[in-house]
Amino acid sequence: MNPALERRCLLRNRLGLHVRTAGLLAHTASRFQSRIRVAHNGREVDAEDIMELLMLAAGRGSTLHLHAAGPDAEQALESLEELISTRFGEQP
Amino acid sequence: MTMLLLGTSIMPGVALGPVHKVEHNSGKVEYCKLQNTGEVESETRRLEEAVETALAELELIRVRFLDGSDELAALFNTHLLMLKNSSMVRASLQLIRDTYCNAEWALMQQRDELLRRLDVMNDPYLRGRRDDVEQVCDRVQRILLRQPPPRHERANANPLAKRIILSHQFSAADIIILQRQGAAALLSERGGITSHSAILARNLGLPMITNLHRARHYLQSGEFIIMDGEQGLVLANPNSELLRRYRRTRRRAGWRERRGARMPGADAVTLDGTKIQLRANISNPGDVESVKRFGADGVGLYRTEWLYMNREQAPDENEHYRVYRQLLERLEGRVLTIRLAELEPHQLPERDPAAAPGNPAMGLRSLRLGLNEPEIFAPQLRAILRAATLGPLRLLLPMVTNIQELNRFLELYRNAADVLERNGQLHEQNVAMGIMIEVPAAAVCADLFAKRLDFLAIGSNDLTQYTLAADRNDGELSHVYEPLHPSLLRLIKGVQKAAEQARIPAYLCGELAGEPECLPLLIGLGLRELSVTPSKLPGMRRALAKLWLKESEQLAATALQQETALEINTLLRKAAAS
Repeated sequence: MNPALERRCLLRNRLGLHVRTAGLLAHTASRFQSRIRVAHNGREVDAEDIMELLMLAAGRGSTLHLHAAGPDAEQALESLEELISTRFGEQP
Repeated sequence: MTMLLLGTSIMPGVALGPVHKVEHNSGKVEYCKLQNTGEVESETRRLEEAVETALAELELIRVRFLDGSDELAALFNTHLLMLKNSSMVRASLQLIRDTYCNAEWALMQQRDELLRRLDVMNDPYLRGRRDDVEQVCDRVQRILLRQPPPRHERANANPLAKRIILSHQFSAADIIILQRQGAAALLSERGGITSHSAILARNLGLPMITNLHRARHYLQSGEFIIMDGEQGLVLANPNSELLRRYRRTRRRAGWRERRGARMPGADAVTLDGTKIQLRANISNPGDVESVKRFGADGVGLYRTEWLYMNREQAPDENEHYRVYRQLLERLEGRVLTIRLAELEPHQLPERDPAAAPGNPAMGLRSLRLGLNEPEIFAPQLRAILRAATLGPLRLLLPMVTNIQELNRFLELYRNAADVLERNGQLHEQNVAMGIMIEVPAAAVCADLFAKRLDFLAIGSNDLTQYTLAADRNDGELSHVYEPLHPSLLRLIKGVQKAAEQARIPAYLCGELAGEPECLPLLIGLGLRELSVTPSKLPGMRRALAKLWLKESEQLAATALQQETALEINTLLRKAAAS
């Protein structure tokens, strides 16, 4: 049985989860076998789903809760946290 | 018999040629109850296949029309992602399985649901994504209904060259594709003049008219028409006299453009020799090319807020400075008027974009924001003072309402100069300074401001919406939003008088100045300087060359006596026709 892991990340990029960032998040999540979910404001959605990520309406300064369950859960959360904390590569 | 359709001009230019109507989904989505699990199985497969086809279509468009650097590539990637792995498709599939409905119906339910959820969001950015959802869903729906892609997306080379394209509405992608296929002009039934596609058509120089109601009903594909992008009119079945006239106009336009290219900066002069200074409104440093191409006397309004958009941190002093230096270099001695960034709090990088105020037009924004938080303007101001040593630069303050604001701004200005002085950086102490007259309070008290400043700039678009309390983007209020309301003529007249008494120039920047019919009025009211979108300049120069100053002054005097905008409009139209 693989462990289910959880992590919190603060959205610090300018627009929060908008089209480009949601796309990057979904794309990154899809590279892992683990099932990854993102929760915000009491709603939880599939991290690979750009439409659902957009519907979270998570603006700048929101906290995302990431859950991952699967063989590569640890690496998946590591990558996603890296992506979010580096502001999705937005140029300063 | 010749038929006339009237619309709204987006981009001037004349085109003669056959119409091409963009086909739209004509099939209506019908509900259909599936009978058994076998049908459910084949219906879900049908939807999956339609999604695959849609993906392939988008991929093909990307390969054929977009190079990697293209901003539109990002838009396409979003559309691909929306189809590839998203609840939009999964939820539709689930709906088919749960309720035994057909694929078209399921997709429509899901689309409407997503649009509903987007519509109630606080974030204006996310609300704006409804177009993406609509475009993606419509593509899949079209495939489900077994209709071919619109012709402009198909593979054969340039089938639409020299054609006048008619559609209900154009997406930004449509416009790019059509331009690359050599379309002569665009006609749409719907779409605002400030919409994304309107801006794109102007940037690409494609003549365009919008608000042509039911044009798809009146015009047939293949029919030969004349489109006059300047007047915003379409002539179907034109008689030989009209054809001759428009062919001549088009030939001359070509000739004039070539001549204009040879003689940039040719003075705009009225029949009796009064010189009118024509300047350009720009938003991006790249616009400077059209400033030169259309022969503007420099830049009357550079909207610097675009430097702040879509980024993580506000530009610093050096970045501002580099942009201004480059602009001054490329303007080769022509004047550059820099308007301080007109921002709303939520547009600033590092702020919560969800914190958009209820009524941004009347809120803490623009100069008010900058005075409240001096660190917003400080780097820009220092850069302006430094760049002013390099060429003719004027500083323009937006949205000034009272004298205290001007005094407080002067403190910021002195602080900026002090900092540069202490650091031993080369800068100009006395940059020419003016304010935008866009709040009615400032227009009424223009004499108080004129005494303290080097110039006044009338921002007619905002002045109109603040004076008439009507948002210009609100189609429902278009009968209230009247740029020629008698109140505005009086305000412009008053501002011009105040400037004249203070011996400083007043100029007008706004759409009003780009309307050839309004030119005699503005000149007659005493204005000698106008600033507009560069592409409007050739038409203005032509219109000005036909004016007598005396007649224009009489016309303005008569216009000032009218009681309604309609009467003023009629007066101007009659004068233009005579």
